Amino acid sequence: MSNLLLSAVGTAVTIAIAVLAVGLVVFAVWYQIRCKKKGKGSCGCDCSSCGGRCHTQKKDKE
Amino acid sequence: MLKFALAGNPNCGKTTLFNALTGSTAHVGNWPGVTVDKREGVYKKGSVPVSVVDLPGIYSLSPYTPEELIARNFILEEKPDCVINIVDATNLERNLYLTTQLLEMDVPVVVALNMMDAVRKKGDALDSARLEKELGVPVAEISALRGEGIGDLMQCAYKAAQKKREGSSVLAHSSLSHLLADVTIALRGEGISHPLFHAVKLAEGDEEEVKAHPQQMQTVRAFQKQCAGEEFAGDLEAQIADARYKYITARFSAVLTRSAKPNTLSGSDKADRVLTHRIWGIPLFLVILFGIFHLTFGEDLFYLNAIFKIGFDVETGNDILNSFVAVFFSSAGVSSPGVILFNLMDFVCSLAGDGIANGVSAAGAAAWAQGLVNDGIWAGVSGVLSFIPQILFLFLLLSILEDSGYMARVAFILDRAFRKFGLSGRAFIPMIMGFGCSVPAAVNTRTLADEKERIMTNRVIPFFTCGAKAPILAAVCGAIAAQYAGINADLLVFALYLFGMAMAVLSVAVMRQTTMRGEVAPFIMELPAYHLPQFRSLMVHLWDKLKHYVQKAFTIIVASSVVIWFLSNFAWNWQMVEIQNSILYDIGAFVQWVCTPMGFGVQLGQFGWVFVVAAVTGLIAKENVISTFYVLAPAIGALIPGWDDGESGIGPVVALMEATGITWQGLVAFTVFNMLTIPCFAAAATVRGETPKGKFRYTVAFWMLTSYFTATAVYLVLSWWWTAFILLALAALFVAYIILRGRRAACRMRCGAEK
Amino acid sequence: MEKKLSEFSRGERGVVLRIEGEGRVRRRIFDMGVTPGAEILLRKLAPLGDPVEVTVRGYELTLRKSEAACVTMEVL
Repeated sequence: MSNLLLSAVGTAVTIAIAVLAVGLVVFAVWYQIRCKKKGKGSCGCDCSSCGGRCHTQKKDKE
Repeated sequence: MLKFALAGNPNCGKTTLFNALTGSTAHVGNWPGVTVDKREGVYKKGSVPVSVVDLPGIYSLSPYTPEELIARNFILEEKPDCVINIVDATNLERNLYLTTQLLEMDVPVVVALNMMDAVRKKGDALDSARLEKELGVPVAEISALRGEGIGDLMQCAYKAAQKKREGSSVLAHSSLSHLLADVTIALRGEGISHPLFHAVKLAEGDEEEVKAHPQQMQTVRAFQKQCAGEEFAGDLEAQIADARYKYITARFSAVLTRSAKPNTLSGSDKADRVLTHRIWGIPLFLVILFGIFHLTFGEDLFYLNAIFKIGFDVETGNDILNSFVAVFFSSAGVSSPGVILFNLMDFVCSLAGDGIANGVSAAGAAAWAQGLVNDGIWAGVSGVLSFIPQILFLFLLLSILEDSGYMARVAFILDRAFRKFGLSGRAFIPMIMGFGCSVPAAVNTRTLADEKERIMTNRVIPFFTCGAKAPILAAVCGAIAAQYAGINADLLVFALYLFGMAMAVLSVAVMRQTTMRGEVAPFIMELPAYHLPQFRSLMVHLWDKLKHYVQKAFTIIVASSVVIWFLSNFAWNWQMVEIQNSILYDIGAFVQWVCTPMGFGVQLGQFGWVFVVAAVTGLIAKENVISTFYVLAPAIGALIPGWDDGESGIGPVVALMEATGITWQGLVAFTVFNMLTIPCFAAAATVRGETPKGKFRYTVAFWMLTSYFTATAVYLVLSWWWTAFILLALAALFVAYIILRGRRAACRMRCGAEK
Repeated sequence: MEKKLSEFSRGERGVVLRIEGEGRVRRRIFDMGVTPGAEILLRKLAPLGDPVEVTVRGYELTLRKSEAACVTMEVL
């Protein structure tokens, strides 16, 4: 009985880990795309040290 | 919603006021150019919310620099309801120069006299009521730092914004008054807003204005011809600047009564005597820089162990106590604060790692899942997390350096030296910022007026080893020091940092002779007073950086680690295998040969590709180099007899050293390659944004070629010292070729001009 | 006595007579408060003598010798 329980837990954990891993990769990719869309130089950029420039300048100069 | 704009000189406390008004957490630097773009926020403490825009710090509204254009166009085109002109009371005359120009626009203006506390401390007195009368606009005394007078200032601004205001000029009292009146009336007749401002700019010969109003320009030209015999001989630009200051000196200086104590040296002056000493200035700077790295990476603090030979090998019977002690000192000596922070975090991470490993094992998860968690997810993340405290400490030290005003002084000292290589001392500032992160450093290059200087500086900023690359240096140098007795970890790290700087200087010198020929940019710069960095702004800055790094760790780095783990544990048929049969092995072995000249290619046997793969993952984020090592080390380490799976810190690097047989020369070359190669995507994208169209591809080529050939040269020279002669000979030939080419081009130009 | 600002030695004081040069550099020099009639004190020289630090209108300004050479002074 306890064996069955253990293997059930084990399987659940295994599946959870797999889901987590895939989820992390997908999340990371989505996060990067979202940042690109906003045009940010580096995401989660502490805008303080950028001197206020979170958005890279569009190339309409020169 | 009402819109107010903050305008003023650099270093006048504008950003401090902006923070106080909007509560934002922007960084307050204090050399010209940190606030390089407008920032917006909302002031909510008044009766109605007001949008506040922080314009770039400018000295005047002439059209010569991007900041001036931004500020000027904002006021002209976006029509703020009120312009709050922050005037540094300790620097009245020069600040009022800008004020006189702002007053010429048709916009309500309120003057905020900042740093009144400093004025009083010096023993001076300022009659702001009188200033208000002379200027004709409200004047409010504030101390932005202390948060005094801000409520009253905003009240003034509200009131002023309710009424329209017409521009007025101090030039109405000069010999130009008639000309300006005529042109103003003409422009107003055409329906142009801010006619007085445009009239003055036209008289100054402002290019934009001349193009826009050719008719009125003729009136100006006629006037100029009349002035031919006078003092300024028709140079109205000079005449106007002169007239402004004359007016300021005559009418506004009486406002300020200086105290009786003349010329006593302020604390700032005393510090300056030492730090910018004619002879000791540069050596002192190098010592300070070394000190920063020593405190961050040193294994033997102040070299106490080397000097006094105090034995530090402590062996208690208790394992946990041993680990605890090892955080603070090792057989090498007392650990520096940076290393202590690393050891602590590493300790925590390995405890957590053990906990996780035990947890998933006890839960009975499948073996591959356990591997995924331990060697994929946690290995990658913990590898990076363990370095974060140490890197933040480095940032703290660098921030103190930047915030104190010392950096402007160093630019001053180094200008002459920089000029020999074709840069102005001003370019030094974004470079030093590169030691923290290349992204804000690249953004800061916008303050360099000369385009060529900007491009060159952007190209070499990645050579200044950033915070994300620092773990690579720390781990590699630590591993080398561990495996080869007699090599000092922090000296090696410092040497590598210096090497990066040297490469930057050398590259610029070469570029100046080849593709980026031209004159060095002018160097007229204000040297703000020293001041102790504000604790609060330092902490805010650090907190932001911490959030940024942790975000990075749990997004792209963990994702890369998972992918690498997968590729290294599975074969093409999606079966789980040993690493020798994995997808990554095949890919890696395929590209391994490319790195042979650099010392980490085919000479390393079957696992040598680890280094190539690590370098490639570094393109996403430089921390990935280390996390890739951490992910692959267990699989490879398992093949080494006697390798302890629980090794952390420099352990994985040591394991890879043993598994691949890479020599320290190869490791150094590998580090050099990573230091000089294409930076992470974020930095590359930022540099791209700062580079004119079509030039970025050359920048990328530059990075790839420089890193490849330099790493090769480093490997060759370190392994076989005599190759240094061959390389020097080649370098000499190259230099000679460039010089000859330069001479011929210069001669052609001269001869061409003479024809 | 007339002297160029670039020829001043440490601690020397003077009043600006005129500014030569042209374009951006000249305008920048004006904008920073170096105009005819302004009093300037040469505070110090960098290692190797270039650039120089001057006190003008109550604050510290740095400029290269070549830029200072545009400024002709009357020595006090």
